Amino acid sequence: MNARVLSILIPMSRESVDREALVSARKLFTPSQTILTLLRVTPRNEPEAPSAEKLENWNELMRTLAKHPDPAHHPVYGHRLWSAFKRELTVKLEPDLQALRDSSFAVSLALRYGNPAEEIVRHAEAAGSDLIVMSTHARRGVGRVLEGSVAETVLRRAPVPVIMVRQIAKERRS
Amino acid sequence: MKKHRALIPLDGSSFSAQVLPAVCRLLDPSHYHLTLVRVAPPPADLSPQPTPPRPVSVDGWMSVAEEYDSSWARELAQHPVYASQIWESVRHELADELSDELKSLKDAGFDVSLAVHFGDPAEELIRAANSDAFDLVVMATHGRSGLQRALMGSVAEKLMRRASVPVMMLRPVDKAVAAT
Repeated sequence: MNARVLSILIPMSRESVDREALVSARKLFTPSQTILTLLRVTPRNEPEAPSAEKLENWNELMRTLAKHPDPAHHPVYGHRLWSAFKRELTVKLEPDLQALRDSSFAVSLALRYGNPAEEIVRHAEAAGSDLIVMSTHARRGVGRVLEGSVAETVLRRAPVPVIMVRQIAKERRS
Repeated sequence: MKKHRALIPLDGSSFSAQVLPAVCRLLDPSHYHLTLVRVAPPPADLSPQPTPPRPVSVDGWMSVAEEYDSSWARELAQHPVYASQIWESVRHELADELSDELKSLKDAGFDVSLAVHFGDPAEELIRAANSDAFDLVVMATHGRSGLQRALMGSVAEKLMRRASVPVMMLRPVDKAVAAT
């Protein structure tokens, strides 16, 4: 029974909040039977790598630049900016990764671009996760509509069970 | 190592019972103690405590007699033993209904215990979840949205908003099961 390894997805987009989910997952599951995937979703579009022919055509280059004022989409510098950005995203999670590895969990890191809730669900489907662990603010009214929507959307659409970790309660208890 | 304790509310429907296969799949029997809990409305017209009599004054006299609110309350005060026995028998009946689930989980290698609470399902579950006795609550949710969700106001959602422990939510996998 339960010889198989569980693959658990933990969205880590808002560090301080999502760390609660990490703490819970660590407490509730056995390291030797668990693979944790920390998923970072960034709400920007994934940039294309600059193609050689695009760079050769100066007019094309200028047109692209005019169309995308976002420096991340600059055909030349954009790519470099993005590598730096990716690095920055993963660097923030480095201490968590290390801590998890130290307690002998198998951990991997994933990066996705787009709408957070959708990408979390999509990743769970694509990676064949068994479980999602998410933090949620227990807010009411407007705050609930704005903030809780990611967790709620994931809960409604996820193909797998979702563990909701409420943050306020944790603060009260400690 | 101390075992984690998971609270699994079951309301006797196949909808709530569909969490069990997932529990077997996701939780490790050697690390989890499961508590199956059934919350039921209190047996009608019966409180576990007899109602105390209230003094009655007649035309300026001090209390001359003690009255009960109803004949049933008087009955209860005179025979408190029977009332608690009725509660106990209802409790046992409800616990018996969980015996199939209990057995299947025990066969899967879990330590399992049963609990029956009387009261409002959401309130009782939140109280149990927040009692510091549990590390995790596992339950099924319909996963409705919008107006439907607002109208249904599911127990699962209340629990999710107010429980101080992580809540594992399972959506119905099978439409046929969800419909029952």
